[in-house]
Amino acid sequence: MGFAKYQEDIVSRYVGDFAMLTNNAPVSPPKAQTPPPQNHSEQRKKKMSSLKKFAVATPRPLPVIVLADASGSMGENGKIEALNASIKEMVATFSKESRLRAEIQVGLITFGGKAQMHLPLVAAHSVTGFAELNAEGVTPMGAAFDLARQLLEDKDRIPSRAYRPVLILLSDGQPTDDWEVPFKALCESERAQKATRLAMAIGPDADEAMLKDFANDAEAPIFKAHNARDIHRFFRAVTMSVTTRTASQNPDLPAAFVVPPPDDDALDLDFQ
Amino acid sequence: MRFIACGASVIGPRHVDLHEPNQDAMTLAGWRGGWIAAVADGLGSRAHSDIGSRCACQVARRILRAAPSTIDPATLPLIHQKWLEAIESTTPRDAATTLLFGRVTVEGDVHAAQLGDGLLLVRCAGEFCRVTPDRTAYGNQTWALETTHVQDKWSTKQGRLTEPGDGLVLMTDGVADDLEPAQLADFFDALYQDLSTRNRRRGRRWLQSELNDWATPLHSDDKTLVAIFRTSK
Repeated sequence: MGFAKYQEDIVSRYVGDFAMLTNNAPVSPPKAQTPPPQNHSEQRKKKMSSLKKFAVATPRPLPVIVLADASGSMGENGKIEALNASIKEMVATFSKESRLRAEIQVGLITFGGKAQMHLPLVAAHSVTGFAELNAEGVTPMGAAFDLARQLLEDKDRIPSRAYRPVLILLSDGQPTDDWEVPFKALCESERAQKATRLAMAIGPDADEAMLKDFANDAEAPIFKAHNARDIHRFFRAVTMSVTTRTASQNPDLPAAFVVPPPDDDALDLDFQ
Repeated sequence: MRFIACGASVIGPRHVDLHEPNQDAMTLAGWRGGWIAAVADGLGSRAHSDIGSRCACQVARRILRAAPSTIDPATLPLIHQKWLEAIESTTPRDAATTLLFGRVTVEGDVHAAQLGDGLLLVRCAGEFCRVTPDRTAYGNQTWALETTHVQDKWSTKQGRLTEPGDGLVLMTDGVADDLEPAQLADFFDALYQDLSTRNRRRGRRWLQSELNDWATPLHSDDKTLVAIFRTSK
């Protein structure tokens, strides 16, 4: 250790010495346009670069992806209205609270008639003018699983430095397409399977068995929404869980998933 | 042959806010005219990962000092075994940590290895190489020193530093995850250029300041980086 330290200090003394460095300077006089010589410390400072330019300029993202059933049946009993209001509220809360330890990003995939990316994955604070969902058509949930898997596997859209994504599935009925193969592909994808998956069954006709298989968070078993208020409560629990994660010591750890109690004063009808 | 070696470890804003210790650890020591370096990142979710990372660096240093000139495959399980003994006051689960280490002999021979997150960069004979494999999942999901030794999860590299600017850089994921992947070779070169103009003390101070004033928004993790470069023909 002694020798290496001695040798390194000798090297450093000469390499770090400004007078030694100037020995390599060209002998010819400086051109007329060049500025007058600065003092040693300024010249030395100029030679030194910064590591900052190599750092990524964006915060580490925490993606939250919602797979929302927007089929025709969601138009009954105020379900789609409750869903629209809940998602808006969640995005608004994220946009206020996503500047703690991570940047919360929100993406929305809908399946009603066809599966589509309703809201591309973007930072919550940059979401403006959320276009409300309309309930129409059948329930192509399998196609939505494919879209979610493609998104989760895409390293350009969700980089490897991202915190573990949250995938939320909510539905009030049975899938109408071949969902089992896409679901298996989602669960077995090397990257996509690492996402935290939450599920909400809306009303009595939801495919609870499938939703139970989908959910993989021990903190959050499948949530059953019996009325519009329950949809709000579920999204408030999601919001609380995600914002708690961004403020926690390790945003990759699951946070407690606590659904707030119903408001007894509110009048609401159960889904039929 | 002459080398410049420098390292720094700073507590991330998250642990500063929570008044918690640095869960990263590092060691950098001269050895028979060469250098031994190690960095470790205790898993944030584990109770005593600061102990685990510190013990990992100490064990790596002790074993590399005693190891013969070529490091054989038995070194990795030996490091794991000695780490288990060193953390006996806690459990392997609570002390889980990543580990990256490297040794440079006076002749310039390099042996380096990595388990888990972080970044191990090496340049031998002018050829830059990222030893760390691409991450398959997301941040903070990593292999680590824990109960069982898993040989095939280690990445290893051997080579020889033959030119000025050759060297190796070890860093924990607090730095590694925030670096532009396409600019790693430039980053390596910039480190060499900067550190070769400073002595070790000034280099460490500069590195500490760079890591404390990290440019990525909302950065929060502890940050550790150690670099060894050859400076002469």
